[in-house]
Amino acid sequence: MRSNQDTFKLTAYLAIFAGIGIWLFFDGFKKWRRKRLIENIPTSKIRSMAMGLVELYGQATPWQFILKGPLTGRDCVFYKYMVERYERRGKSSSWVKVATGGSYDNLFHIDDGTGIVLINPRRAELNLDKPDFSFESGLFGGDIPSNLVSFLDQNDIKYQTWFGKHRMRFREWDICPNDQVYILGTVKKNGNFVSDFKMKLNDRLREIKAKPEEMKKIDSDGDGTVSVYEWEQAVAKLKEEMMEAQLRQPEQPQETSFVIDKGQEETIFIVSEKSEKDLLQHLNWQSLAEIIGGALLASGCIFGFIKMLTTLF
Amino acid sequence: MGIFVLLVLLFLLFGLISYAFTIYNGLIRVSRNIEKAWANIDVILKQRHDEIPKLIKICEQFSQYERGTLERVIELRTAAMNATGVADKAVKEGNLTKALGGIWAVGEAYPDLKSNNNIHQLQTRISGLESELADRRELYNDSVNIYNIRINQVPDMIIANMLSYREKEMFRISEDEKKDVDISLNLPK
Repeated sequence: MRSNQDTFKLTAYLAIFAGIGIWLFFDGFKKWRRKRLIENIPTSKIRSMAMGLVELYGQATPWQFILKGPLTGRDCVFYKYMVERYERRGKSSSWVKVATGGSYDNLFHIDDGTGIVLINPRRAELNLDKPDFSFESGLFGGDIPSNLVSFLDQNDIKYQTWFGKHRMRFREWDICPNDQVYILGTVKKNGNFVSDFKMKLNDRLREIKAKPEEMKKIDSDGDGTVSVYEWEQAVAKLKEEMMEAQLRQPEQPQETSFVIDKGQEETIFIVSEKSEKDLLQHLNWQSLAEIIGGALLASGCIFGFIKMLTTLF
Repeated sequence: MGIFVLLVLLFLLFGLISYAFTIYNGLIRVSRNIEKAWANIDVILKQRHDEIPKLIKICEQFSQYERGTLERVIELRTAAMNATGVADKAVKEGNLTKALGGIWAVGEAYPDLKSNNNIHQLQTRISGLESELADRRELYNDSVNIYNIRINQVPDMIIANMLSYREKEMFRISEDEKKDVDISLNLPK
């Protein structure tokens, strides 16, 4: 005979696992749809890519400058890192994230031999293989090297205890120059001329309003106040001047005039170090396992739940 | 045990419906991809057609160009612009590419033509467009290939048949276009 507490516990477990099963089942389908989408899109050449969703494959190259991996100091075009500390909480111990980050705001290029295009990794789903650097200090690992100690110090991460040092785990993923990268994302114009222009104009108008000497120049009849007509005249003149200045600027080179980003309609944006074939294989197995496993787990849990109810009542 | 089987069957049924929807949506996408790829080819073809009158205008200033060669290019441009369907367009655009090759060949043989800045700029522009055209043709053919494979594969085939989807033709290069341009044919006598 089970106690009420046991029954409650069992019900809770069944509900949780049924939920996990249902989530896995749906997530499996999501992955399968993604696999189909990747299969359905042919690879474009950068030279001739059209606006909208594209699939590209090329070598990573730096845009403005080469980055340095924060843990390794390695040359790269993109990095992300994670530092974890082994902490004891009551009876159990676990790894706790103490620092994470990445060069998400640094754009980089990919070059497929026909052209170069910018990649904005900010909203990308990154698929970066295994970590390029992994180090664990403590029990079986060695002592923390000096470069990692200085990283911890710079970031105010506590690693020393009263009796010695915490166990620490460091991981860094890099996309290095010349690494082959697979991209599935949306081609966009780099910067919107109209919105950029409006933003610059508004900034300049705010500047004028804040400076009395500039407002005085606008006051053409010198009556001490700027009329609506005088203000409109000033805005029109400013627009003209800014437009002329814009036209005098050299045209943006092709390699920076387009950027691959997350689209508004097509929200898929993958940056992967895996080849398309590997990515598809991975998605195939994952989706199959999740669909079948999820369905069985959810069915089993719901079945158990119904069975339990029938024995109770 | 019966309930368990029923639950599994329910998941299976739901899975099958989702599967069918995904296949249907996938087929719609691959079909639209072809239309998009074709429209993108048209954009480049239009740009190339727009450059030809400029080229003819410059060439007319040089006596080396036979009137016939230029007229042929104009004629082929008009034919290419009026072409309908993939195969027809492929043939007519191929003929136009070949005729343009003839103009470049004459330019190569005459230093005063070769050094003309306008000709040089147009040649660069048209060659660039032709490279883009080749890429987009490849992308179009890839899109068609994906579509043709999909509609012949089980289980996609079942839904493709329900949608009356038929195989689509690729943008094939004519045998003439694959040959080198015969320079001697275009040289003035």
